[in-house]
Amino acid sequence: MPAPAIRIEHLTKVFGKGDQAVQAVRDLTLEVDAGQVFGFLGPNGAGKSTTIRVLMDLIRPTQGEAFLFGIPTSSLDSRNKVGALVEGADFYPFMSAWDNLVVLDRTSGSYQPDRISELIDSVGLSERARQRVGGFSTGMKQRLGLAAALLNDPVLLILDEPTNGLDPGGIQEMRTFIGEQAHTFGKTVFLSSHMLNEVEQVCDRVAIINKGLLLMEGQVGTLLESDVSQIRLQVRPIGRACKVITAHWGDVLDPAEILDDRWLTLTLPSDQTPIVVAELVKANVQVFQVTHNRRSLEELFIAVTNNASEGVHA
Amino acid sequence: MLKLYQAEWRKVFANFKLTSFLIWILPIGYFAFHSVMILLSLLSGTVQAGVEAFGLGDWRTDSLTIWNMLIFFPANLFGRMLPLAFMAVVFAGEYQWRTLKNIVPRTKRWKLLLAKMAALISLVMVSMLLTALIASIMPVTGHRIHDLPYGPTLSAQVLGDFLLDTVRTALIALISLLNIVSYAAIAAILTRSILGGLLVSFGFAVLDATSLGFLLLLRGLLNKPELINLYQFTPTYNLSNLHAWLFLGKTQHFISAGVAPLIAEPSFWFSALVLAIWIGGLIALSLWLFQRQEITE
Repeated sequence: MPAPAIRIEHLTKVFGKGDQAVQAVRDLTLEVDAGQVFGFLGPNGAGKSTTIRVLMDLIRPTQGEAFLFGIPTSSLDSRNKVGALVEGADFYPFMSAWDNLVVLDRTSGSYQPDRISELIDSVGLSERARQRVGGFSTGMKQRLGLAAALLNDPVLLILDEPTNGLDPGGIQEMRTFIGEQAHTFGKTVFLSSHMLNEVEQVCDRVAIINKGLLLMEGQVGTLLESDVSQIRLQVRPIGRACKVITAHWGDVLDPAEILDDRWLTLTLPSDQTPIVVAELVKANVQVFQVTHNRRSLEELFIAVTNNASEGVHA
Repeated sequence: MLKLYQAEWRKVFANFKLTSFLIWILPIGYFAFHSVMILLSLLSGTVQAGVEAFGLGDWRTDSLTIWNMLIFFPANLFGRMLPLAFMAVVFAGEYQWRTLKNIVPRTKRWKLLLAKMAALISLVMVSMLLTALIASIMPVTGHRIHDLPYGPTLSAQVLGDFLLDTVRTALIALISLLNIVSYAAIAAILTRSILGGLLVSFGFAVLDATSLGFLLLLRGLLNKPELINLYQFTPTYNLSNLHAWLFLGKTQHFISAGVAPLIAEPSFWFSALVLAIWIGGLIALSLWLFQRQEITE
């Protein structure tokens, strides 16, 4: 069985000492299988970038270990098949886009002008390739950052907030790019982002961390389905339906969502839906339509991180 | 390692503003100064007299002077500042431009640091070599225009001796550069900023160049006369001593103010060993610091 693309075991990272110590990541355990698009979510200061820096061996764990394709991240070999964009795209401002990529390529021990040319074309910078990066916009630098991450034709792409500073068009392009890398080129993508809508659209699995703790991890669909969701029902007569529901489940009806004397909305775990329908039918309520108002990833994220914060404060 | 060196060379070379102000200014400045003086000497008898009086009277000595500025106190106090500033900015720039996160994951850290040191030293050596050439050719040209001699006529013997002296002096200057490149690296690693890197590396270099004065002060403060003997173990003294052995065939003495030196006649190999320990130690320290450093920006 092939090793997972990323394996993080009981990772803890503490910055500073004594009273000044800050625990950026706490006992984080995570596995990302090859071929997945994995969303790594969390508010500012959650520990996402710290985790990514450990993966790239920019910082060392205080405790625990991290592996890329089964090789400890402290070994240079672990990064042979990895491309990364870590916390924004920063380049030598006095050099051209082309020269920056040549320097990075040579630093990796290779020199592939054709590959550089192809990558510059693919990120739409061919007309600016010989211009100084100092004059580039944030979006252009991000695109150059992607080209840099792809230099060694990696099988794992680690992208830390790749949409930061991008306009809506740029975000759309980035989403297309990530989807293409994963689904056309079969790369594993580990994506840290604040853009939850984007993550929901491109990721297979997500993990949510806050204050260094892993709060939730799983398939995007499963996490959203298994969660409490809104059930909308078109029923007649509505008064009897309300009585049945209140009698069985208590205060789950949203009065503001009782519409046209036909539609009502209740908040329950989605696996309760067949039971609701059965009870209504048993009480001679006609059920015409049932729909689920699934929570968005953003709503789930806010609920999970708020709960965690309340837990921490309590 | 060669590709890594090429990458570092390209980065350094491409930083045109920085290299112009701190590296190319030497040969360009020398060339411009001599050109202006030659032109003015054609127009004015006073300037012509000035040109005749200018220089050390021998193109060989003029050429070697530029290298000696990296070696001897007090010239090294200023002579090393431009290359040191250049090196400090290049090392610290990686932190300020937040580019270490791009390059550190791509190679081994020790290779990265050594390649950068090698690229910086080679660029400074190229600049020094050009300056040394200009410093010898331009005064000769100026004097030739006015039909005046300036040092011996070129012959196989003169050229051979001159080249040998240049190689010897350049090698000692190279040791001095190895010394300051490690100061620059350590300062940048510790401060992670261009300004901090400049200030701390200047501090190291000044302390090194003025170590005799510092030890004299310390001796007076602590009332321990024998402290002055520590000067025999400083880079500045041993660079001078190497030079003295190579050019004069004897030890470089220093003001020990009545105290018998710890080693009466420090030999060429003594100085070579002390410098190897200093430079090896400083480079090892910079590698160790960089290896352990957390790249958080």
